[in-house]
Amino acid sequence: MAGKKLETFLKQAAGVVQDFFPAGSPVFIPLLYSALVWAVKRKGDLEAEVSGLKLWLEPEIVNNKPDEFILDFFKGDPALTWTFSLELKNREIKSLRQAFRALYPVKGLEEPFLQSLFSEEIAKGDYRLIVAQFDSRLRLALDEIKATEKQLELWPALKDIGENFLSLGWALMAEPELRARLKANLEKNEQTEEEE
Amino acid sequence: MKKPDSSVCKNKLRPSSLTGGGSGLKLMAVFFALIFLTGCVSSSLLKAKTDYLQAERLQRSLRQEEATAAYKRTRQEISAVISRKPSGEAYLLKGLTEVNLNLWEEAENSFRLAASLGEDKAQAWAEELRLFGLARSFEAQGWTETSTRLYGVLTEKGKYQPVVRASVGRLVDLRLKALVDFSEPLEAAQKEKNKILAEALKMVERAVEQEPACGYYHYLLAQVLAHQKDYNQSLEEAVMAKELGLPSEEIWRDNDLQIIFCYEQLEKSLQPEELTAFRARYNSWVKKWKWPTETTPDWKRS
Repeated sequence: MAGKKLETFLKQAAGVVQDFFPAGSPVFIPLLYSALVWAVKRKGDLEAEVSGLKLWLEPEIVNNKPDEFILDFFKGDPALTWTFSLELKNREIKSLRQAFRALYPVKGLEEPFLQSLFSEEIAKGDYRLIVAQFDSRLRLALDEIKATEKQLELWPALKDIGENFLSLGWALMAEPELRARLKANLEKNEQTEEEE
Repeated sequence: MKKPDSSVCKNKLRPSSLTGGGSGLKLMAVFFALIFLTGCVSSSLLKAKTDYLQAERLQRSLRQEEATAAYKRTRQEISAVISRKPSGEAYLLKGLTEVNLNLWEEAENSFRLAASLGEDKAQAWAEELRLFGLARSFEAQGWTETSTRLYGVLTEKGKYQPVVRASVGRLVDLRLKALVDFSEPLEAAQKEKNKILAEALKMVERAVEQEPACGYYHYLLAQVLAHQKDYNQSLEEAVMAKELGLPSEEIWRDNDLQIIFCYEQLEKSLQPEELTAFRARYNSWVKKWKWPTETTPDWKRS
């Protein structure tokens, strides 16, 4: 499918999802992006996916990792090594562990919703901002989705968008490439809307 | 449309009115309607059972999200069956479905109702779920010792597998949390840490002995062994966990990253002669899992 077609499709899809949220909501792009990624991965129950988000953040999964695992996580990624060089140099495990709690689900486990929610910060490499705003931004996003859940049409609408997306043959594209193109197009859409 | 008069219906169904010819036909109609309705309920129950089995199959194939959707569908179907004709079997199925959806309190209630309708085994399951719910409440309120004791009882004496598994998971998490929170001076801390780790290890090893094919237990074992810096064993357990299956995608991914972490640690520490054999072994797994490189799982993109 040509790039133009994808752009049009995403514009329409964004229009549909946007209607469920208040103006200027930071949630609908991550939700649309995740819905399309999940559709490609044949995950039918979007509602379960979103409500399962908290599982990705279960403190025990990330909080109880050994110090060496945390150090390895930061040292294994050049951008993280650079950002947290001082803490790494001084072996400040306490603050690294705190940062790890936010960054591991985003950068390590690559949860699509969280990646989209913090896409701007990831693109800019502003990992400290992700750590600082992780709890509040995520809570806000989940609260907004929860409020929207009362509108029963949200999940079927997202499912329809996912199915239409699949019927256009996008599932054949490699996932990393697909994610990159979706991201670029959705962000472009968002910018255009803001300008308008 | 005129509403049917229920008193008339009642009169017509009275035994004294059954002797007449017309009434006989009506009785037959009611009889067949009852058979039809019973048939509907049984076929719905059968459908719910089939869907439940399908959800279990999906779960075993590690298609967790689809399994969750199937469990949700089963719960809706079985709730509809119950509203038409409550039975012990239906409540039992509802409870089993709820356990798989982590709806612990609802499951406890369903098992209680199943037991009151003749499903004897459901009573014991309800009791275990109640204890588990209590332990979780204590844990949420910060009563760690009490919740640890309750989880311990369930781990040792529990008979209902999902509750036992969840209790072992919570116990290990609580032990590891104590380890991470430790802020004593170095030497004393190390001694205490070793003690905590030995306890956690013993606990998970016992669970593995009882249920060796449970991937989640091997995952927990890999986590504990990594704290002990036994990366060789930790890697083996994480590989076993991956091969046996894990309950969710985030645990699955975390386990993959655990494998890579152990691989990198061993790369740094092994002697050259050991390293060659180790790499060959490790690469055969990497090939089997179709990972692009030794340190890039198939789902990783950055």
